[in-house]
Amino acid sequence: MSDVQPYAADAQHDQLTSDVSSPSLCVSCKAKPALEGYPTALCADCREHFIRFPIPLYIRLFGAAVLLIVLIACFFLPRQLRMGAHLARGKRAEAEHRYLTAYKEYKLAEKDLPHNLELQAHLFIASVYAGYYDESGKYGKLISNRQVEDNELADKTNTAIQVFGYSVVTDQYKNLKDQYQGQIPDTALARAHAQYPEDYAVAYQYAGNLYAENKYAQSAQVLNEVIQKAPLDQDAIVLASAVAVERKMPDSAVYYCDELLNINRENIYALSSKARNLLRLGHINEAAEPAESCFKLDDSSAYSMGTMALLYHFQNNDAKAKPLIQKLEQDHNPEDTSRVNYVVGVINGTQSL
Amino acid sequence: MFFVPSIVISLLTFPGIIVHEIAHQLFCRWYKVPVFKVVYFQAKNPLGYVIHERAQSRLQTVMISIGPFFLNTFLGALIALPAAMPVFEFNNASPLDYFLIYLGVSIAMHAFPSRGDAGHVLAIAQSKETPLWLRVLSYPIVGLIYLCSFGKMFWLDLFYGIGVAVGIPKLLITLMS
Repeated sequence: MSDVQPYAADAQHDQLTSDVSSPSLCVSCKAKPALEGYPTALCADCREHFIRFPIPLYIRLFGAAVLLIVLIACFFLPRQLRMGAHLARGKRAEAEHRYLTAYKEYKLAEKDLPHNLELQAHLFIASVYAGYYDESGKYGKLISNRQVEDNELADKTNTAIQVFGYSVVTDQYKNLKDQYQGQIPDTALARAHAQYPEDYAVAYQYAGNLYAENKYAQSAQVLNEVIQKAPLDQDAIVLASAVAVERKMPDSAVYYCDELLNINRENIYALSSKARNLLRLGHINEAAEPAESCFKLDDSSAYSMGTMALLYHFQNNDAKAKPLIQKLEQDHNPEDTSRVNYVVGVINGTQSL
Repeated sequence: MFFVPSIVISLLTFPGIIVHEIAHQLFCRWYKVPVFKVVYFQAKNPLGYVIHERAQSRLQTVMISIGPFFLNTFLGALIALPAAMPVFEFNNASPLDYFLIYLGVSIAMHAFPSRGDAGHVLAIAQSKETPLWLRVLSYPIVGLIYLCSFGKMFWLDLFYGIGVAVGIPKLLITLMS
């Protein structure tokens, strides 16, 4: 296409030199002596002139326009790169089912990219699997009745909508609550569960009531039915894990924790509970990985701090356990008192793990 | 594959040709090589050219010949970089973003040196006075230029332009993430 012709100058040079009487004169101005040692006989001034061969005004204007565009581009560049990096990190975390990280990265990208449908869809997905249901509700409203062009993202969003539906209070459950003024008896829940087996809100509440009444086997049965039909229902799996702990079945609890971790590798409850159940099974080395991962993700909650303290205790590392226990006892929220007392009790030997 | 005359492509992507010739001229200026004529763009072959004195050193000749590869690639990537995210990732591009992508691709796709440029580098490579290291370096450059020139028949220049405009931002993002 474009061409550079470095040697064509020689032809021009020959024509020019043939016109001059003295070959030592500049071929351009034909007045001053040419500088020696160059292929073209040019005087110093003419050489300098040709080195700085004038660029036409229209090309200068073109260059200025390109330069202006480059400056504009440079102005937007840091923002775009930052946004792109957060989005890429979020997508990678989402692909690896690390939804806490994905959510965090998408939130950072959202600062520079508000109102973007695809980002909102990603935020919806991440918030559903991270268990941030308030946020899921918010982003669910933002993306409802809008078409996501990316088919893969649309499929993932539809699955997340289904999963989010598990945590939404159904009309059936609301009616029951209104009918019994908030205190739904087990018999009514059992009837409703038999009548509407696909109503997971009813089933979950029924299993929860059974759990609260120490009817663990029955609770486990209801939860198993739910989990078989809705394997991504994290609330049901969490409860199933808690039921397994109460039934002194730590291996089963670990199984449910792994199911939760398959959904979200950064599920704080699952990591912490898995570590505690592995400790119960005597697998101290295996317990270290989930306990440390959990503590890395959340080093401020009583549950993860307590798990870490328990791990240190069973590793006979009281030097590390003690400061954590002290911090837990001093800084914990009132609602975490029983959790803290439990950990302190286990470490003091007044309570079994 | 559908046929689009190359002159149509060249007319559509003329900013890249102008930048290509400016690159030759700027490299000449950098190496203090006198320039006698510059055609930045014309609607016939060659689409643009620079006539300049033979450079003092062989390395300078090589650099003047392949200079547009560096300048066009760098400028094309820089211009397209901020627009690549909105256009290819976020689907929220503005007309300015599309213009930046057009300009970036146009400039980057004319980064390849021409066969004329290759001829000058080949002359350097074949000269016995050229140092061995430069000859060793020149032959692959010539080979690559001819390969790219052949590849233009299969839109390699356009793919290169798109690759620079899309691939470099993606690479940067990947490195940053």
